[in-house]
Amino acid sequence: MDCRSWPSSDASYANWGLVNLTVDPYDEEQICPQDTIIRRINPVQHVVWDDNRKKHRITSKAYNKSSGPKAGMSVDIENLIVAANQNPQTYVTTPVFTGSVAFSAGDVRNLELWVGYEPIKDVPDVQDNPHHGEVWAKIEKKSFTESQKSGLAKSARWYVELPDVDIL
Amino acid sequence: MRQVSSVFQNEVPNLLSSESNTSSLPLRSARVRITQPRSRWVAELKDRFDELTALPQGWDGYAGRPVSFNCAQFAANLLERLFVESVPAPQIVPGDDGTLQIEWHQNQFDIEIDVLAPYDVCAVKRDLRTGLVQEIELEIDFTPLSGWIADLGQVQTQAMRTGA
Repeated sequence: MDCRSWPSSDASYANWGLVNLTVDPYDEEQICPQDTIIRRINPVQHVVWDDNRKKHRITSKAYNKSSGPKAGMSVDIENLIVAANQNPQTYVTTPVFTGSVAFSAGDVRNLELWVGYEPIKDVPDVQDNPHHGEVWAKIEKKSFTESQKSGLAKSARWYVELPDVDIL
Repeated sequence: MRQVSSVFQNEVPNLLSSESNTSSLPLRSARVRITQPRSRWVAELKDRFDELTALPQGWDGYAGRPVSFNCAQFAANLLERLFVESVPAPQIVPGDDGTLQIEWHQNQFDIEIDVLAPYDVCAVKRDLRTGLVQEIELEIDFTPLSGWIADLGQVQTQAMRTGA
């Protein structure tokens, strides 16, 4: 299967053997460069007041990886949501309402980052998310570099816009 | 000894000597309470720390956890040490993994201190006037951060004097 023959049912990616947050970092070849990668943005916790720019904007913390080995940045893979006959805008605003931004997989990879599948399954108190993915640094570090974080912010566009909040 | 009430009081016993008003960075294994914050910053941020440590599981729409007590406690102690009177309190944002980030965006500086764990910090300073970006990782000596905040304080003071 290449990146243009997308799986059409849950069973397809269930067979990839990926379960909750234990995937080793890798770059998923089935995710094409033009594919949309969605990052959810909490309208309260991910927004700061920027007095230099006189506006509310998304914190750089929203574009960073989790700490720890193998950890990355949580995302949703739009094509997986569509392939499951679900509305992506609805999907990424439930169960917790969040705004969201989107990047192309190509933009992500141009920042020396990988993107892959990492379904959330059987995490206590967390709803399963079979369309969950992860963005990892090619070179493992404590956090994404400043250029990676700012690069993600620069390449981001609104997917579910938060009113009166700027991306940059 | 006395029982005291302070931020994050629900996670560990708060037993300190009645003379204690500790604000210095503790030893790695110690859990130091801030019974009466000396700095305006920590006093102003008390409710925010409480909010972040009480975030619900999945707050970010994924599997996000609340900010850990250890990170919050370390951040509060770090802020006590970095306090500069002329600089407003920073903003604090959570990570999805129990970490938090301290941020200032003013006077043509962006300063971001990402507390990944006690004594494990990544920090970035952007000078918007010069375009200079500094990126550092700190584990023991946090003196560079004091320098950054002092710079921010100097610019703040100059701005207040000139009415900018």
